[in-house]
Amino acid sequence: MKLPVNSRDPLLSAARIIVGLLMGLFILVGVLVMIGLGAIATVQKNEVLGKLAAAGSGPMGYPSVLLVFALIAALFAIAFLFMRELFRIIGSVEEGDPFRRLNADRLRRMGWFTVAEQLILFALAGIAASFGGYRPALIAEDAMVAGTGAVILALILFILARVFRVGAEMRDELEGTV
Amino acid sequence: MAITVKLDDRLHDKRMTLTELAERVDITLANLSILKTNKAKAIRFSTLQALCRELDCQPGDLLGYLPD
Repeated sequence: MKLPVNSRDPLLSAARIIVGLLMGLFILVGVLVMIGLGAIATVQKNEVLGKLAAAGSGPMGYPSVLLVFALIAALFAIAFLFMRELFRIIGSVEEGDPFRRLNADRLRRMGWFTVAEQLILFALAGIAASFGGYRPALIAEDAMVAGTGAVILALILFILARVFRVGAEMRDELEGTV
Repeated sequence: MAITVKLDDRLHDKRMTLTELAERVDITLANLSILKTNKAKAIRFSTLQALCRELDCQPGDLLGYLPD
């Protein structure tokens, strides 16, 4: 059963454009970071090693830089996947049929993406702290603010996934009603 | 299939086709067909009321119960 939805709903149209632009931005930045990672692992390796040695970095400096780039690339890849799921949910709302099990699965995946993003951010903060240029108090404050937001977002997404699953079951039952 | 719909008997008694009944009760032929073939999960009181009105019967004349 499809609900009548105005296909020119300005909110949906705006959301589609914004999410589409963010998807493009995340792909672009992710690719650029990957190119950067490739460069510092190959052609710019000696230059980076030289700069790290000049800055007094230990033996873990270079692997840490590679790891930071890899984690940032992963961060943007996950952000892209998150936005792609959201883009598809918006599409299903525009079609007037949002209460699908597929959307419940999408919301659940978005919840896990949020958790993964937060874990990566914690890992990046840890690496930054190991470099010594990032004060522990600042890290704790950032982790508290960003972490609380992420936990709340993940919880909302997991709960919404349940809501959509129940909604899909109710819709199935309604479809069998004459 | 515990609850059965006995539309055929009433339609035969009233000399009415399923298409004609669908038009009279204002529901689609597809939905009425689902009801007739016992594939419906539920029936609205408004549908039952319209069927009883057009077939001149009681809900019990249309519905039956078969123990599993």
